Amino acid sequence: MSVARSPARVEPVKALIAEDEATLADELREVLCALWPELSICAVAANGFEALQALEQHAPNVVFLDIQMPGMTGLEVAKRASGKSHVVFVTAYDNYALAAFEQGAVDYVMKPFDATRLAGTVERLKARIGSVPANLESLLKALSEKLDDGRRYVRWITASHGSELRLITIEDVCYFQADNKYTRVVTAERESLILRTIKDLGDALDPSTFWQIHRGTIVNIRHVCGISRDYRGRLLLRLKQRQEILPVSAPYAHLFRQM
Amino acid sequence: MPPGAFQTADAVLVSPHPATPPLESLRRAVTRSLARLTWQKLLWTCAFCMAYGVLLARGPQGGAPQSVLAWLGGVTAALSFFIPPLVAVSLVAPFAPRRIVPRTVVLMLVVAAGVAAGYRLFAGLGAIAASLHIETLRHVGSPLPLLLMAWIGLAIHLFREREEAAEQALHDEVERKLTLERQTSEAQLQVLQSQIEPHFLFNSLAHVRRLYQTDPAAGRAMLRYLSRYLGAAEPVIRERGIALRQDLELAVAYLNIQRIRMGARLSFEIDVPDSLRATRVPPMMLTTLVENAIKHGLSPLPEGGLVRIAADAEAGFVRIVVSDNGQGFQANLGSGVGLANVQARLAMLHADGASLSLSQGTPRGIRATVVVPSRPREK
Repeated sequence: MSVARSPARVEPVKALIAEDEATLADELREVLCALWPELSICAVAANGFEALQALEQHAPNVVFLDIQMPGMTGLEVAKRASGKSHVVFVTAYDNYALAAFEQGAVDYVMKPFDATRLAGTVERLKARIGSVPANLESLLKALSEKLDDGRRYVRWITASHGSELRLITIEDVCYFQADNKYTRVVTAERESLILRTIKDLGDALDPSTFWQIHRGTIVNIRHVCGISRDYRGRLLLRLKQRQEILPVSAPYAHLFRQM
Repeated sequence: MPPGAFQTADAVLVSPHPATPPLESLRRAVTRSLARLTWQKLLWTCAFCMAYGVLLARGPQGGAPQSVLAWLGGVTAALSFFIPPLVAVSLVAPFAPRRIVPRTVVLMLVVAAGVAAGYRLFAGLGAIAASLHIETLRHVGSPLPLLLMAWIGLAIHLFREREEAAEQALHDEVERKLTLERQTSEAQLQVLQSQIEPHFLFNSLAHVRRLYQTDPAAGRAMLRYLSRYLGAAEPVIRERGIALRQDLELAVAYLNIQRIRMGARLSFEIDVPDSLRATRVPPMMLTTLVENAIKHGLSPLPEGGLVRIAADAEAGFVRIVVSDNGQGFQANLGSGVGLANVQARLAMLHADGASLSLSQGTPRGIRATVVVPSRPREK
């Protein structure tokens, strides 16, 4: 009778492990086999692409996903598994990840694997296995934003000069100037072009040091040595190590009112 | 992995360096010069001219100005004497020599030319004044007092300029010191943080534990690498840097740990001659570069790749190259503190004598090249 009610219990529960470090993948498999003998591990994937393939091929009920994997991250794989499989993330201790998981109420296991904690995860999975896996779409979006590197401001820029890739630390940049689709990065000694719009850049720069002063100009205020007005009443910025003078356009003039 | 990882490789862009047409650069130069002509200077000059106008309008016998018209005439005359040298100095000042004596001479000549031009201008105005019966204004007399006054104005300008420059230099020096201090502490913090980064630490510990169950010899090796790597946390922060030998040991310990974790996906080569192993480098420099190579270059690739550390000597300098054959930079913006800090710490250790540069590897990957003097800077 129970068979008719939940067909999932008849077929063995299939699980996929996606973990790039073979030693740890082995361990996880072993621990899971011991805790949940009925579980059949259908595949162990060593990278994101393999995980995706296994996902299509085996349609597992449960997937254990390492977050940091080559090819595709665990989050990207989870997007495809969302709504089809129950997702459990596997991660080593990481402040950001843990905070994100706690808030998102996603199931996760930590490395090194702890048998008692894993037993808890297994219990929860067993309870949920008959139900339809949750749709993780919005949750994953929030997670990837939290885990994204974009959580910090730009610290350096690479720009090509011929075959050489030049490293410019952000402190050395005097100002950025829009140049069609490119942006000119100006330091005391030289100018470089990068394929980024000034708007993109503006979002990635630390607003406490980099001020937009014009539709096409973002200046490093640590490099400004003086402000004056010209005969037309425009505000002009003088720079410490550059000869040129940067005009401040009217919509941004309020930034300097207090000075 | 950043979300932009699958976008086009921005970093491969070869930047054309646009040549500025001469007319454009002239326009820019003039704009720049005129920007120095501030309201402040113009107002001071006008105020001075108004006062001087009184003097001019007094006529040959002295006494009060004969009329408002005469006074206005005087002001006009003064303006025509002094505005040309002011404009001329503003235009020429940015191009004049920097050293004080030639600068003064050049600007004095410019002022003289300006006054001469103004005097000529006034000759024309004088004729108009005569037709208006403002007789007095025709008797300005010799241009020499005018020149003298304009030179006094120049002297005030030069004095203020020097004062401002000195102030700026002091400000810059203080700023530089502060920046250096900030970078030092940031670098120290970053070194400690990357060494005890929990994610790395717990992952490695997970390996140690598992390997002790399955392959005790490998587990012991892993633990040995790990303790060597962590043991370096104590003496890392030294102002004078450490020997390349020590830093290499640390990097190799790190590479060994990563090789156990990544298995066949990571291989590495060391090609550093013994003779160069005494070179002073900032602590953890190699590890930071290797970490970057693995994290951004090899780790995202399912097939992994090779990290190579090589060094060679050339004319008083040692070149240390950390290269990989990974995927290369995927974006030309980075938020990692590692590279920026290596650069800052190199600057602290060797001042301008050291450099860090990056280039595209062939056929792919990143080459980080560090150049340091083979002998430490004499103190």
